[in-house]
Formats: sequence, structure tokens, C-alpha cells
Amino acid sequence: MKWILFSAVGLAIASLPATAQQPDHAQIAVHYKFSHLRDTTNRQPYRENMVLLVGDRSSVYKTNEGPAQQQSAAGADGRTRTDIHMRGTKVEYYQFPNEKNLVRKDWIPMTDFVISGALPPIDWHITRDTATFGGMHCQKATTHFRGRDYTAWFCPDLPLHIGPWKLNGLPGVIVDAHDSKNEVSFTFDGISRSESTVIQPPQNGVKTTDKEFSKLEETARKDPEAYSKLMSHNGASGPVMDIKPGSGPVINNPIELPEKK
Amino acid sequence: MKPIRGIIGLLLVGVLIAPAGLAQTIKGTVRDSSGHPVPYASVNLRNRSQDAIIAYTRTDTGGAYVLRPPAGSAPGDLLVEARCIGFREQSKPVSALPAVIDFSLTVLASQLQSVVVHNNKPVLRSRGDTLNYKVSDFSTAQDRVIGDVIKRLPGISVNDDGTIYYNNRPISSVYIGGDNLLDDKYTIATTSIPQNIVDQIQVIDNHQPIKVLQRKVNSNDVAINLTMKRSGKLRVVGQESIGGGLPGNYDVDLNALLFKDEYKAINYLKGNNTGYDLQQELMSHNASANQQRLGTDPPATLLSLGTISTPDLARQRYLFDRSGMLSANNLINLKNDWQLRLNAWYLRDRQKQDFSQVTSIFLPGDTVRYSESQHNQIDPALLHTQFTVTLNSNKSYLNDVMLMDDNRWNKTSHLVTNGSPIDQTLRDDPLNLSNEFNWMRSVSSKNIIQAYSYFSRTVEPEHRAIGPSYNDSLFNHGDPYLQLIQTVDVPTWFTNNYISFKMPGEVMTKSFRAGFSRQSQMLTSELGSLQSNNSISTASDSSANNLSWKKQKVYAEAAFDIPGERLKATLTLPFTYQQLNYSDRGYGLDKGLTRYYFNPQLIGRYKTSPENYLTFQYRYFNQTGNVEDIYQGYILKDYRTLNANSADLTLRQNHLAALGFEYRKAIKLFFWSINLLYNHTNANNIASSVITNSFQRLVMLPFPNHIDSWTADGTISKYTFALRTTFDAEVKWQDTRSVQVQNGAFLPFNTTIGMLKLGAETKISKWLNFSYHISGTQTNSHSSAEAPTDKVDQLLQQLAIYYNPTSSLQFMLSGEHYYTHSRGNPDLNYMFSDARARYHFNKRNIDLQLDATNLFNVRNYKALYLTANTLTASSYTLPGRIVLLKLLFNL
Repeated sequence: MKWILFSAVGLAIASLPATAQQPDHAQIAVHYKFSHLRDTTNRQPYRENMVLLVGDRSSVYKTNEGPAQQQSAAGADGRTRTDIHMRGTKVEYYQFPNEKNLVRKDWIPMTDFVISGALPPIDWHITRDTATFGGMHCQKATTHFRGRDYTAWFCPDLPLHIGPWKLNGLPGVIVDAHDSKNEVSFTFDGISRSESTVIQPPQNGVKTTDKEFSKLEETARKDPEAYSKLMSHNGASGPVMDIKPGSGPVINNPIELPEKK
Repeated sequence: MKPIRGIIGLLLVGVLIAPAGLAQTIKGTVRDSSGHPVPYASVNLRNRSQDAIIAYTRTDTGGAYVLRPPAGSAPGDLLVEARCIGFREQSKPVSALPAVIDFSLTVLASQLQSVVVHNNKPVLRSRGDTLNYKVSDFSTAQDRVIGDVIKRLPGISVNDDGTIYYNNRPISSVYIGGDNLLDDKYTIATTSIPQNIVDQIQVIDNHQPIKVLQRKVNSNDVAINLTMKRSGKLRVVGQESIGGGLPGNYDVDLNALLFKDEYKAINYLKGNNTGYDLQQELMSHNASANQQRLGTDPPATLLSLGTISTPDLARQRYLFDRSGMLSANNLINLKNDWQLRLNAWYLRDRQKQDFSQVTSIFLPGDTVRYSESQHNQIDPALLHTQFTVTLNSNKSYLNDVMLMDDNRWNKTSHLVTNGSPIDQTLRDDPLNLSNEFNWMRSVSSKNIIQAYSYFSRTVEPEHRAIGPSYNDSLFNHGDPYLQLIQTVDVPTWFTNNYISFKMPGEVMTKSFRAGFSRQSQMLTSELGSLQSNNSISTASDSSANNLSWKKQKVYAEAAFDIPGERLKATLTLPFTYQQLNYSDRGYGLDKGLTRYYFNPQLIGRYKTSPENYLTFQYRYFNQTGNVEDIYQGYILKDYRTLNANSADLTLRQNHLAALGFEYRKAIKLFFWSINLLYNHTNANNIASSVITNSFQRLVMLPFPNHIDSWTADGTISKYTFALRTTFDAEVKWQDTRSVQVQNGAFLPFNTTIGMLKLGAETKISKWLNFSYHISGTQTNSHSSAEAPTDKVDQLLQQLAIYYNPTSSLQFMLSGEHYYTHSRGNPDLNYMFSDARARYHFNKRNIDLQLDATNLFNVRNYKALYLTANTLTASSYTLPGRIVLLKLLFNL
């Protein structure tokens, strides 16, 4: 029922032209410890520090891996350090709940891609349970989304219908979420005021669709040599013995699972 | 728990009591205090007893909302609240159901930050542009050293000489764990560091290693940094290989590497006689950029053994060598940002060459022809030591490099020309000592001052003896004598000093520099004949030089740099006051030249769309000659070239203009680019050559002339997903017009080169793939005079097949075919073939490799070269088939 209401409202809003607005600036940052059990044969999950920068009407979810190498290597004082970029994932999720828009920034070596799509509508069931996270009063909700049962905690004092990754649609920012099997979790790791950075997908990214991007990503993964030759579009190089492509991390348990119907 | 069941249940309930359910809504409109609707506001239904939200919605663009309370909700317990960023929240009780509840919200600045308890989480800061490649993603089982992996990275290409390019831009250096161990002589790293101890290869664009300049001054440098795994930092590692084979070959590579944070070392001992030239590892890949930075113009080597050039083949195909080298590179990181570094090497080699050549020079009305055959032996002994001290802190930067190069070349040659035998020995001992000092400090939190001083001393004594009785009619009044001895040396003192002031800015960075440089040289040369009574008499008058040269420059330069997103451009405006004095008492020469020069340069790039950009460059450059353009006395450069100059310096003005466009559609893996270049040089004198069957005499004549050249280059490449193949093609066309003076005649020349390259690389399956490349070149040279037009066509094809039946066994078979066609000469066809087999013993981590090069045992290679009006037909002796068995293991 709520879903019907939402989609009706959504259609009404979507059919209206969006008005140009001043760019949105981040006000607060919600920190998460993201964990994903990628390979069921290897019990060590993938972990990463993530951050959700929340503005007045939009948000961006991205990595918060600090320049760890810089710090650890500066053990003994004084050395020439090169300016090293972050280590984490390069994928960023931009949520625009008013426009019902989800923009994903993705990356294949050398190029940023910007993939626009609809913000997936999620039908939540709110429970009466409440808890406090970082001094914030939060309420619990559950749902089934993309093959997993999620439990999320949202904070109504932050009245934006956004959350980490693709999770959205609750009357408050989602500060903690995990699935029932604990294979995917966004664990609350603090909340703070944020530097006033603009929330906007990169202007120089190549705009494309999800399908085209997946095709290109698969090529780059299966055939990194061909992809690299093209990306550098150089001429012939000498005969080289390199037949097996390098193997990436094994992901037999993706975050989005096919629905069992 | 299945929330779907709950939802279906609610739906059923809702449907059953639909008429009644519809009535149980709460609706209304949310407006602001001036009556305008507030869209996208959160409207929540709360349960007073538990203070929890039980239903929620958002207002539409008209500010209207509809809330459906869950069944069984008692109105007295309910509260409706409206919240929206930018407004004060409001809540109203529900008296009865259904209800119409409107809100009128008052504006309030965003309260998000006040909600958050102040928390001290650090905010991420990242600048610069770094690509991180995990080595394990790109490496394959066959890779042993990190150079094998670097070649494969997207955006990276590696030349035959080992120079690494990122996006067609040469990299500045390869850093190891953030430390600069090797400057730009990085081949030592790429061929020694085992790939399994490297965690990531970082390609850092706009790399700025100097902390004082970071985030203030843009840099266009791109550098590679190798980050080591923990296992690589703990102990000494190394890739060792020992090989021996037939006929009588050895190939040894023993190295010890250590990559701790405070101490890094690459030390090794290598040697081979299989044609791999160890001098490639000593190569400074950024040599021309370094020279520009130092402002120096070192004298070139003047004497040589002969006129035959090396064949147009990969060096390994023709090099007969017997070499050994010891290299040590050690770096220590001290406290407080100080660093000490020592680099040294010593190389010995014995290279043999066996060439013969027939040269035809086409003059109007006459053709000069001469033949040569040479057996040469070249013995270099190269010693290099460099000591560097660096301080790199946030406030200041200090760098001092003390360098010594002591190279000794000992060359002997047995030459037969036009039937007459000549023996030669050439000793060339260049010695270079230099010190470079660079200091920077940041002042007033933004600006930067710099002081720089470079100082060097160079000598290169050359001594060549030809005998016996070489051309006695010309050199010894017709009497026999022992040897003709030519000696040359150009001892040089050079210094360049400047101070500069940089003002970085958001839109534009301004820099100002002022300094002076001084070059003081003395060119001494003598040509004498050694008589049988051991006395030396001057071969002819006017064959000795004692030329003193002093060049002083005072300069000031302003540079403006725009580091924008769409437009990146740099404009450099250098003004130079140059005073030059040269004199040679023996010829009554005492001249000076005082000039003001302005050499502007503009270089930039403009992004027309996210994936495409336009590049442009314009440069105007003034060149005065150097001491080697001005000597009056004859110097016998090689056994058949006598060189002397007129007293006037060669002054050249060069205009260079370039335009390019690069297109990329990454999603389709389709790229193409076009580049156009125009080069125009004006010179105030021209080399005039008098050519006879036994001699070539070069004299500079004061006739103004110019050289024009146009170049157009296009490349295209595309990956087809269906065939899993990359296709690429390149087309190049170059036209050069110049003038030459030979035997008194002015001959205008036009040389046109057209080139077409095509290639395909496939990955048919995991265990089999191949690559094929074909390249065709046509060179046309004609003159407006009566000399004939000559054309040389060349075609090169390369095919390689890779076969991996199992993960431990690998095979490779490759072939190269060269075809040359020139009118009036028989066609030349050459086929070279190599094969390799490798077996990996998993248990002991040892590899056994069998290499066979030049399977068809091609021992002789003939080539045809055409330049302007000279056609040379050369023949070279090649090392034949080599079969080598190698054992490879890790420390």
C-alpha cells in the first residue's frame, strides 16, 4: 500500500521538470564499518571504512580509507613521501531522494564512469524497537531487498530518506544496517560534522548505462592486457609470455543476490 | 522472519476493510509561513506511548500528504509530525480518524549539524591523481621481475630501450616505497625487483616529490611508485639466474635487494655474452630533460673509427659482446627528513663488430663510390659514482648531488677501404665531475624562494692513431711513416646559478627567475705523423687548434602556469643576454658576439569533452653554435672526413608548432588521434662538402639556408568484444626540404617518408594466443636537379605464438621477417626466429628455461639506406644461433 502511494507520488514528481538549485553541501558525516563476506569458502570478509556525507537534500556514500600507507610508513621520522591517494573502493553512490535518483560513480582503470538510474524504492516495515547510536535516538526497520533480509536503524532527527549504498526510504538517515546472515553489514562507526564539500557526481565522468558499463568491466577483467593496450593505444610491443590473466578477488557471494521466487 | 507475509497480510486487511480503510487516513498540506507548499517534507505518524514512528510518508510537490495509520490505532495515541530541512519541525495530535491536519512551518536554518554530537573523526584529504594497480591482478605465473608486470598495465607502454611511458608521457622516475633510489635510471629496478614482493604499482600523475611545493606548484611529471609487501621488507631478496649454452655462451644475473623503510639497496653482479647490452641498464631515461634543467651544453665526442652505422635490427640480433658489471645502489633514511644515497657502477665489456659497406653519393653529373670493410673491437671500462644528500621537510628542501663519471673507451679497428688496409686505435677517456645544489624554502605560507647552483668540470682526451703510411701523399709529403695521430680535447668549466621566486595561485601560478651561467672551454687538437725515428711532425699547416671559448649568459625568466580543469597551459618568457668570445692565436682569430635573445614557449591542452582533448604547442628558439662549430684547423674526424670551419658561428632560429587531437570512447574501447607538426629552421651558414673517392672535406660556408619539415601522424585502435582481439593501425607521413652543398653545387633536397603499421593481438583461449604486426615504410628522396630519384621500400612482419599446455609448462615461438626493395638492386629477405620453453618446479620454486635465438642461424644481414642523395649498401656479420639453458631461482 505504501509502495503504491510512494510510486504514485514518485511518478507525479518525476513527471515534473526538476528545478535548478544551488549545489548541496555536506553537513554531517556518518561513518560505517562496511563488511562483506565475498567468498563463502574464505571466512575472512572484505572490510572497509565508509562514510556517508549528508547534505540538505542529497548524500554521497564513499570510502573513508585514510592514507593508511602514508601513516604507517612514516614510522621513523623524516623521509620523502609521495602524495598517496586513498586505498579503498573507487565506487561512490549519490542519492537524490527528492528526484528519486541514484547516481553511481564507478571506475575502470583510467576512467571515471557516471551511471544514473532510479533510486530503488524499498518497502520497509518499521518496528517499535528503539536504540541510541552515537547519542542519537534511532528506530529499527526491516525489509527484503535484492535477495537479502536487512535490518536497519534510522534516525528521525535527521529527516532525510537516505542511507548507505542503495538503502533509502526511511523517515530518517540510516545509521546502521545489516542483513540477517551478517554477510553484508554497514556498522555504525561514529557521526560527526563534516567539511562543507559539495555533493555532486564528478563532472568529467563518462555518462553511461549500467549494462554498457558491466560489459566493459567484464572485458577489463577477463582480458586486462587487451584493455590496457587499448587504453594506452600504443603500437606493438615485443613478444611477451603472459597468457593467463591475473585473478582478482573471488566473489561468489555478491551483495545483491537473485531473488528466490 | 518474512516481512512479505506481514505486508501481504496488511494488504488483505486493507482490501477487506477497504471502504472503511480509505476512511482511516490522515491527510493534509504542509506549507511554510508565507503559504507556499513545502514539497518533499517528511510526515511521520508517531505512537505517543512508545514514542516510535508507526507510519511515514513525504509530501508531494504540492505539499500534500496522505498517511494511513495501521489498523487498530487509537486516535488519542497518535501524533503527526512534519519535518523538513530548513524548517522548524511541528507536531500535532490526532483527535479523530479520518483527519485533515495541515501544517504551517517556520523557516529555520539547517539544523543537521546541531543534531550531531561533536565528534573528532578526521576528515579525509586527498590530492593528486593516483592509480593503484594491485600486482596480483595483473601478474601472470610467467612474470619474474616487476618490469614484466609494468608493461601490462593499462595506460603504460614500455619502449625497446626500457623507457616507460604513461599515456605517451615519459615517467620521471620509479620510486621504491616512496624513496628515490635510482633517479631516472630505473631499468635497474624494473629488471631486478622480483614481482612477488611488490604489493602495488602506483602511477602518480602530477607527481610532486618536493614537500615545499606540494599543493602549491603544479607538476606535469608522472612517476611510478612500488609499494612493497611486508614479506618484501623483512629480508634480503633476489632473482638469481645462471645460464650457459652453445656456442660458448654465458648469462649470469646475481642480485641482492633489501627494501626496509630506513634502508634500501639494489646491489648486483651481471654478465653475459648473448647480446644483451648491459649499458641499457645505465641509461638515463630523462637525459634531455636533465640537460635542460642544468642549462649545460656539453661537448660531443669528436673522433670515431669509421662511417658504418649499426644495422636497423634489435640490438640483440647483431651485438657480439662479452660483458660484466657490478652495481651498487644504497639509500639510508635518517631522522628529521634527511636522506643519504650512494649509487655506483663499474662495467667492462668487449664488443666486436664485423661490417662492410659500399656507399654511393649521387652528385649532378657524377657519382662518388667507395667501399669499406671493418673488424672492430670496442672495450669500454665505465665507472660512475654519485653521492646525494637530501632534506625534504614541509618548510624547506635541500638537495646536493656530487657526481663523478670516469669512462675509458679503447677501440681498435682493422679497416680495408677501396682495397687498402688501415689499422686504427682510438682511446677516448671522458671524465666528468659535477656538483648540483638546490635549496627551496616556503615564505609567508604561500610563496617559495629557491637558490640553485650547478658546477661541473669535464675533460675528454681523445687519441686516434692510423697507420701505417696512411695517405702519405696528403699527410707526409709522399714519404712513408709510421702512424697518423689525431688528438683532441675540450676541457670545460661550466657553472649555472640562479634564484627564483614562485607565487602559487588558484587560477594562475607566477614564477620569476634570474641568474647567470658561464661556460669556459679550450679546444686543443693536433694532427701529426709519427716518423720512423719516433719524432712527430705536423701533418699539414692549418691542422692544429688552440681555440679558447667563453660564453656568458645573464638571464631573467617569467613563467605563467594555468592549472585549470578544462584548460591547462604554461607560457614561458625567457630573456637572455649572451656574451660570447672565442679566439685562436694560431689563426689570428679573436671574435665576439653579443646578443639579446627571447625564446618564448607556449604549451597547453584543452578538454573539448570529458574524453577528448586538443593539444597545442608553439616554441621559438635561438641557437648559437658551440665550440665544435668554430674550429679553424682541420680535424680528421674519421679516416675519410677532414673537418674545418669558417670563422663565423652558426646561428639558428627554430620555429616549432604542433597541434593534436585525441579522441576516446572508453565504453566502446575505441580510440584515435591525429598529430600535426611543423618545424622551420633558419641557419646563417651551411656545411659544404668536397667528396672524392678517398676523402670528404667539410667546410662551413656563410650562405643562409633553411630546413622545413611537416609531419602528420594518425593512430587508431579498437577492441572487438566478439573476437577478443585488439586491432591497431598507425599512419605517418613526413616531408623534409633542405639544401646541401656538395662539390661546389647547391642541391635542394626533398625527402618524403610514408609509413603504415597494422597489428592484431588476440586471446583465443587461456592456453593459446598470438600476436601479429606488420609495418611498411617507403622512403623517397629527390632533388630538383638532375640527380635520380631513389626509393627504398621496407616491410617488417612479426608473429608470435604462445602455448601453455599446463600451468608449469610454457612455450613461445616467434618470427620476424624483413623485406627491403630498392630500384636497381636485388630484393632482400631475412627471417629471424626465436623459441623458448620454460618448466616450473612447484616444490622448489625453481624454473628451468631453454632459450633458442636465431633458429635459422642467419649469419649475415644486408641493408640498404637512403638519405638525401646518399645510398649505402651495408653487410653485417651476425651472431648465429644461440641455445641457452638457464636456471632461475629466488633468494
